[in-house]
Amino acid sequence: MSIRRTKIEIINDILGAIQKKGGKIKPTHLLYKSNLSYKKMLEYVKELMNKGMVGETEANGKKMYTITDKGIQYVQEFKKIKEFSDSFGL
Amino acid sequence: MAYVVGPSWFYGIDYVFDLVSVIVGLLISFFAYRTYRYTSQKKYFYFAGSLFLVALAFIAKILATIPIYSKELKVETVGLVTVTSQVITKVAWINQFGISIARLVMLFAFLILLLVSLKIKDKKVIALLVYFLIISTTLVSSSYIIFHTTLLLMLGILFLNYRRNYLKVKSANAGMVMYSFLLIVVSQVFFIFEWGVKYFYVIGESIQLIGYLILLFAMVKLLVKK
Repeated sequence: MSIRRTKIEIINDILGAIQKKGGKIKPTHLLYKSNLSYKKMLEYVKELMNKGMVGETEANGKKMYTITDKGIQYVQEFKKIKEFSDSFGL
Repeated sequence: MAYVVGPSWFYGIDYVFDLVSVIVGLLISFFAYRTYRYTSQKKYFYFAGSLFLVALAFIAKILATIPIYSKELKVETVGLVTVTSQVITKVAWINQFGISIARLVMLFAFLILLLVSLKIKDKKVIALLVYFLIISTTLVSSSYIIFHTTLLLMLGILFLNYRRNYLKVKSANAGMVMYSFLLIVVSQVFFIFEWGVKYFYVIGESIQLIGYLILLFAMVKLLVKK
């Protein structure tokens, strides 16, 4: 049985997927890696763009999502956030 | 009647003990607020708010007891009976007011923590709990006993929640959170009976201090981790 991911876990998965691909990822790859519906993925990406963690660029006429320094910082902070959250059962 | 408990040699030492609780409350509050900024999840905001209020309640308690404790020292040195008795009356009023504020803030702090931890979101239930909390602390004659008993109950439920969480995640930090709350629960038992035995206040404050120090250790361990 799969365990439902929390919001911060989904955000970490999205940012982690972009980081693992060298900081740039195609929307279709991100859709596959994030394990979300297309609509949900767009919602998360939009939110992360508003927060300045994800950027958008074009390579060979194709849209790509990029991870910003703030996004990289988030991935590093995620471990602490996760442990904090787990410690208090939040 | 002014709120002065514990033996006189302990006056002032409890400030230091309570200051540790203030630091722990502010540290956790700061980290929870930072988490809120990262995640935009309101539960972290409320969690930060509750710990901030815990710190605030301890500050209020310290400020409310300062005039009483300093008065205790002044009575011995000055010795002017008429003047001293007037000042004590005034100081006792400030002290009572300050302690009432501290208690109310403390109860609200742990109520928020309880609501966040137990994931209670029903506004009707929340309104009812707030109502009971206010009437039980303001409209009763033995507010001191009621305050610590209510706190004991809330902290007891929080401890059971953190115990369940520890058994689920099995991490050292979750264990430390569980044990710290267990000690804070135990400290409340001593506070309830401190009117009978003066040293119970010292024991309660000491146990509470150890509880908050464990919480501080857990937070520092988490923050310095790379």
